[in-house]
Amino acid sequence: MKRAKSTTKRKKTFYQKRKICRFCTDSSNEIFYRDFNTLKHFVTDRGKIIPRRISGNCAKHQRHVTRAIKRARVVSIMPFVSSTQ
Amino acid sequence: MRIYELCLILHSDTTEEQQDQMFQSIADIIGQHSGSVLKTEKWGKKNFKFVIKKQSKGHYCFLVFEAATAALKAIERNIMYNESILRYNFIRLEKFVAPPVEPVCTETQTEVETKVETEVETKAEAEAEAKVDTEAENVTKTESVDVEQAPATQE
Repeated sequence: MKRAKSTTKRKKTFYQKRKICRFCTDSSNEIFYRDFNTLKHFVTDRGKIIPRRISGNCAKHQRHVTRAIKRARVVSIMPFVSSTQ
Repeated sequence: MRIYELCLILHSDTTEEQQDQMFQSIADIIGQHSGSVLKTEKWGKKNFKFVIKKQSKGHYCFLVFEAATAALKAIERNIMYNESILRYNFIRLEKFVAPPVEPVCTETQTEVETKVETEVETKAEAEAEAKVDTEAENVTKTESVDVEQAPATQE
C-alpha cells in the first residue's frame, strides 16, 4: 500500500542564523599574513583552511584570509599540516 | 616604484650585529636602485611551525622598502647563496600600513593584565552575589503571595 501523500510530503524547515563577516562589521580587524592570532581562527586543528560557509566570511574577505594563510605558510608562521594536537 | 616587504629567516646562531649588517647591505642595494627603506622589524628568535633546512628555530627579520623591480633581482642575487639565511620571501604591498602585531610579549605586560583581570572578576562576583540576594528575596515574597491566593481560586 502506498502511503498517503500528506505524510511523505513533509516540509523540512531549517532555520540557520546567518553568520556575519567579522571583517565587514569591524573595519579595525585587518588581515595580514604575519598576524597569527587572527589567522588561527580560520584554520582547523590539522591546519586546513576553513571554508566560507563555516567561517562566515564574505567572499572578498575569505579571499584575503586564504591568501594571508598561504603566505604565512611559506615563512613557517602557519603550518601546512600539523599532525600533533 | 612599488612597495615590497622582504621576510628573512636567519639561522638561530646569527647575532644582532650580523643581522644589522644584513639589513645594511640590503639597504645599500636598495639605495643603488634609487629606492628607500621604509621600515625594518625584528621579531627575535621564534619557533617554526615546520622544519626548515633541518632547523626548528630562527630569527625573523622584516624589511619594508620602496624600489623598482630591478632592485629585487639584485637583492635576491645577494641573498641567495648566503648560508645563514634559511628562507626569504618577497611580498608586494598595496599600501604601506604599519603592521600592528608583534608576537613577543614581555613578562611585565602579562602580569599587569592578569592583575587587572582578577580585579574585574572580583568586582563582577561581588555584584552578582548582591543581585542574587535581592532576587531571592523577591522570589520568596512572590511565592508567599501565590500560596495565599491559590486556595481562594480553588474555592
